[in-house]
Amino acid sequence: MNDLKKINVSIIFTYIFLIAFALLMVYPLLWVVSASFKPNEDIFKSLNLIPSRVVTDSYINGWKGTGQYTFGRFFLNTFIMVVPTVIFTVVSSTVVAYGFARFNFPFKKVLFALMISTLMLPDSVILIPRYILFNRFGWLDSYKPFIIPALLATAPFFVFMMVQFLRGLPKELEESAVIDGCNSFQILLRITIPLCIPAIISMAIFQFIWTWNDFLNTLIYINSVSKYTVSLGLRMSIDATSVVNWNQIMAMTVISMLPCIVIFFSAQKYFVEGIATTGLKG
Amino acid sequence: MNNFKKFVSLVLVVLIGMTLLVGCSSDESSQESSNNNTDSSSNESKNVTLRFMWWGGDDRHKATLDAIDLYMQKNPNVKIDAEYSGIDGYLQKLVTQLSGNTAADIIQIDVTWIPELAAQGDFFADLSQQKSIDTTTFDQNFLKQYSYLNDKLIGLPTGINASALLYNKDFFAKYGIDDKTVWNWDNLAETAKQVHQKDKNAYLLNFDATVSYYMVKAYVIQRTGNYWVNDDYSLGFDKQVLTDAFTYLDQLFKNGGIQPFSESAPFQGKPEQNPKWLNGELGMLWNWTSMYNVNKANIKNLGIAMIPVAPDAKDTGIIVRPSQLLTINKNSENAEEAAKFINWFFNDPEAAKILKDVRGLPPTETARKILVDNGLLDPALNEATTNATKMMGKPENGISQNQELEKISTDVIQELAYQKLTPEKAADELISRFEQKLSELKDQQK
Repeated sequence: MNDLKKINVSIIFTYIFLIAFALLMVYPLLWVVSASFKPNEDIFKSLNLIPSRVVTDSYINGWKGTGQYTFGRFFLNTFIMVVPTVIFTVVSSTVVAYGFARFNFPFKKVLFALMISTLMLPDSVILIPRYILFNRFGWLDSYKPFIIPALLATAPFFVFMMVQFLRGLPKELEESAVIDGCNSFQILLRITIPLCIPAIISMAIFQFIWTWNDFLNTLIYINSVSKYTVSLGLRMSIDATSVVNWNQIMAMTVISMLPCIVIFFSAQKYFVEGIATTGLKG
Repeated sequence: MNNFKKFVSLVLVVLIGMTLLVGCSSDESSQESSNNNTDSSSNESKNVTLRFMWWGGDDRHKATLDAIDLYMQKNPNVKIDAEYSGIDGYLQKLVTQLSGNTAADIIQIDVTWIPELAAQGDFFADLSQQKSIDTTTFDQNFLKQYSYLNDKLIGLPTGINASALLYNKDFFAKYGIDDKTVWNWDNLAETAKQVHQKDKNAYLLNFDATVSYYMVKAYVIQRTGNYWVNDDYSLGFDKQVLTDAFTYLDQLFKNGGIQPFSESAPFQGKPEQNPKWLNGELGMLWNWTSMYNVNKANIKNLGIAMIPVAPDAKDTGIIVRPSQLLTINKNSENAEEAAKFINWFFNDPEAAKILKDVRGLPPTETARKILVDNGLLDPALNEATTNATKMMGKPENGISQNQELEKISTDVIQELAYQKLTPEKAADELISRFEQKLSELKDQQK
């Protein structure tokens, strides 16, 4: 009896601790949601989550934006940019990683080191040269600076992640496929990719969220307001010397988080598996 | 067979990818040629497209878009592409565009950016060369001080911005402070002390480290009459004056005149969002007239007053500067049309009515009069700005506005606020770090 009580007490304490900690972590998110329903002048006055008076016109007015373009336009733009980027990243990174993991070719080590070294390069260093390059290509004010590099496996992090994952897969499976008469592409399609699904899903989720939230690159490459993405649209009206309708911005923030949340939870099972297994060696 | 099909489909995918790439590149050349077409045709029919880039909030966006629409109605041959955004990343984008030679034709910039932009190149057209712009409506002295770079008029001020004290009238009534008070350093310190003695939760001054830096600068400049930092990169003050300024600041902290930084730290850089200020427990914010409307939205009874000036001040230290500048890109192919638009933007009565004070108090007398006549201007704001313009000190030179010096100063002020340094040690620290940084900056100049 006594033991049971002890266990119960410790479980209760564990739960209290976990719930308190979870609330602490979720609080900013809850604050954003509650702020979107607050009247504008209330937002910075209190940390209270319950609005003094619930307003919903923040969603309507926020969606209308400045009047020229609605947020619907920005969402559409973001999808036009993000979906091809994600698909191309997944395809190209997988193919390149397959090459690095399974084939021997001249200068393989050097090339691999080069690829990893681009991972170490800070983004701000290459910002201006890349801008000038894309300018010469005539890609400015379009989504090409995002989509076309994605075709060429320019995300070293994903390539590296896939290489590590592929190295963890037993070679015997592929050898048996060779015996059955598969060539290397067929092995990739029929054997390797099905085994890589968790890694591919996590790659897709990462790239989706990162591109979706990308502010700096969209800021630099997109000039026309008609081509703005959500992350630009959200900051479009933030200025220290103007009255900022924070509740509208919070409302749009809530809406812009939804796709990421939906994608994350619908693929969560694979996502966690992907992260958990990429580190393992076979 | 199935394998073969998959293989074929893969090949097809690769092919599609290739065509996409090729398609893009051909797209690009066709784009270029179409650009060339429009360029050549524009010279004949005078159809031009101008790009106008600015930052701001909703009000400014709406008003400017309306003004642009009206201008396009009146001048059907001109199309203006509005490229507006918030202030986040604006400078970074501008620098990238200027170095890539892709910047807009008409660009809104901040006065404080000029030294940084000038260091990277010569980007802005000389507006005094544009005959279609009438600059006589502007205060010439004001133009001379802020809009010229190397004897070239690089931009026109969009509005007038002056240092000011914003105060909560309800707070003043509660603690029996006369809101007609003309502030000097002595009555400011005394009032601050009394307020905190009456109520332990109330502080007269809403200061963060940046605001404290404004105050220290004004205090020192009023004593010396010099620039904060001279044009030859030497200090405009000695240790004694700076120690006095820091002692004054230190007393404000110790007497409860300023809310302790340990409480207000989350709002460093944005004191106007401090909940205590919004809830009327802080009385006064040292800031700019351009911040009046933002604060007015949250504090109903907001007043505006002159910053404290010592009776024997050698220079009032009141800074009056343009809220922003409107410039024309030097490489713009349609500089003349851009100049015509800018002239309309500043001098046309209808434009003035649409643009109101979304870029600060209008810089031309005529526009101000139109707004006052139509009741579109807050009288208190107008009066405060006019007074500040009358009493303004000499304008800040470029090096005095240096961001790195500001960072050093706010660091030292924070150490003072947390009692890590005595006023005297803080003065030593600031002077030695200034001298080191200034010699670095001087070397970069060479």
